[in-house]
Amino acid sequence: MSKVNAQLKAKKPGIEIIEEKCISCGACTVLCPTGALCLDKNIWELRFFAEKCSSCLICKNTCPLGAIEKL
Amino acid sequence: MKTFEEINEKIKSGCAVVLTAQEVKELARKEGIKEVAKRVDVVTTATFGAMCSSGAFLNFGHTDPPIKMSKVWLNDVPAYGGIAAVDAYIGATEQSESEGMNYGGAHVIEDLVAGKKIKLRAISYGTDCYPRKEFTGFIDKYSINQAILFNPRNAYQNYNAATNTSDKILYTYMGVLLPNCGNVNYSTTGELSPLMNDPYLRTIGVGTRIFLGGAIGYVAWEGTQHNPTQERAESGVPIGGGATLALIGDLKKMSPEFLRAAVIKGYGVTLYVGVGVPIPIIDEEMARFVSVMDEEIFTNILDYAVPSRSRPVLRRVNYAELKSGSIMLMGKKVPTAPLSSISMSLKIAEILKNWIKEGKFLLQQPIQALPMDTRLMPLNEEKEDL
Repeated sequence: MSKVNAQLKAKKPGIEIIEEKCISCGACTVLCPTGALCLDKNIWELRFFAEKCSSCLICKNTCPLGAIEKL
Repeated sequence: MKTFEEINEKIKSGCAVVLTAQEVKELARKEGIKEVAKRVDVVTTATFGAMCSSGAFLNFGHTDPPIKMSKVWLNDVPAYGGIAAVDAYIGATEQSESEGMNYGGAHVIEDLVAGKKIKLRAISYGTDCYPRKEFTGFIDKYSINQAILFNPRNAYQNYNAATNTSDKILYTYMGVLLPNCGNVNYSTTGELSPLMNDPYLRTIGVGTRIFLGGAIGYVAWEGTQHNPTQERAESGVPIGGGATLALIGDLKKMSPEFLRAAVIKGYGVTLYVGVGVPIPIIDEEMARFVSVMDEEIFTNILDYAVPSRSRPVLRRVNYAELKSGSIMLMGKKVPTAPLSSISMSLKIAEILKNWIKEGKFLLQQPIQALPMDTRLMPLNEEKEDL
């Protein structure tokens, strides 16, 4: 299991990131009201902090690649 | 001074020094530009961003009896059929007649590349030589004669960043813009991007061999809205807008990893295109150009709340600031997002570097330079004379 989805399992947030679809464009990071999504500046990949997720689904509703799903 | 031929000889003999754009900047920081000129032969640059001005020419083969397709749909997405009998052009931003902006031309292209079956529907008025009036069937990339990706405008040299001063959310091609300057989106990979590293197009022109969508492609021409007379920073890189490229390649050989359909909420369908361009270090000037850093590349933040083609500039900013994740705007800290995928761009630059190091990819010297004197013209309303 990837690190991202391992974190998801631990906290049971409202979303799941489909890693094969995510290109880490960062569109979701500026819309997330709780800072649960950010780009890792070393490798420019998306990071998800499940404990911060409020399950508002703004990210799911706006992801251009359809890479975020509701759990 | 090195020629393309000399660099290609080094590639063939396996001794060319090839660095990615990220690696060459590190070398320039540590050792300086003269060392870059002395040691490096090729620098691989890349971008992976939403490029709406993309599409593909397809030739389906002739039916029996033959048809001159005048209107064409692919998975219910209209394609342009006004070219000969069984050719069509599917544009990336065209939307499905049944699913609207949830599925469009970019999805058809991605599905074709992935080897999926596509439903083809065509109608015709019928002629003596092409008597058939309708056709419905399935095609895939193996069954059709040609699938040529031809993108009229890709790889924008630079582009403005976007924000929104209004009190409403705006849904734009620059993504969702939150009210009261709630975010700033930009759309380039900055110092990694191809035309940032050759600002005056000294080594890139008609015929340049490139990485396109996971396969080998070529620069076909200047891109539409090519604007090399844009204002430039001291580094030589235009501030906003600038040069563009028209790109061509064999869609059948490409990969769905590097051609991705996307739906930008409230705006529509687009295609993320992976483009990698090798830049030969023919002299010290090119070494200086490929050593350009994000700190030296600027763009303007425009207010998309103003519905004008000349949107007000709220601030000038460099890419080091934008890539830091937040900037100061109108007296507050505002989060920023690249929209282009920097991680995928790094991957493309690495793949292209390996192709060159393995001798699978030789540099092609441009057969014609791209124009450097054209200006962007607006479209003004002109009343018909009565």
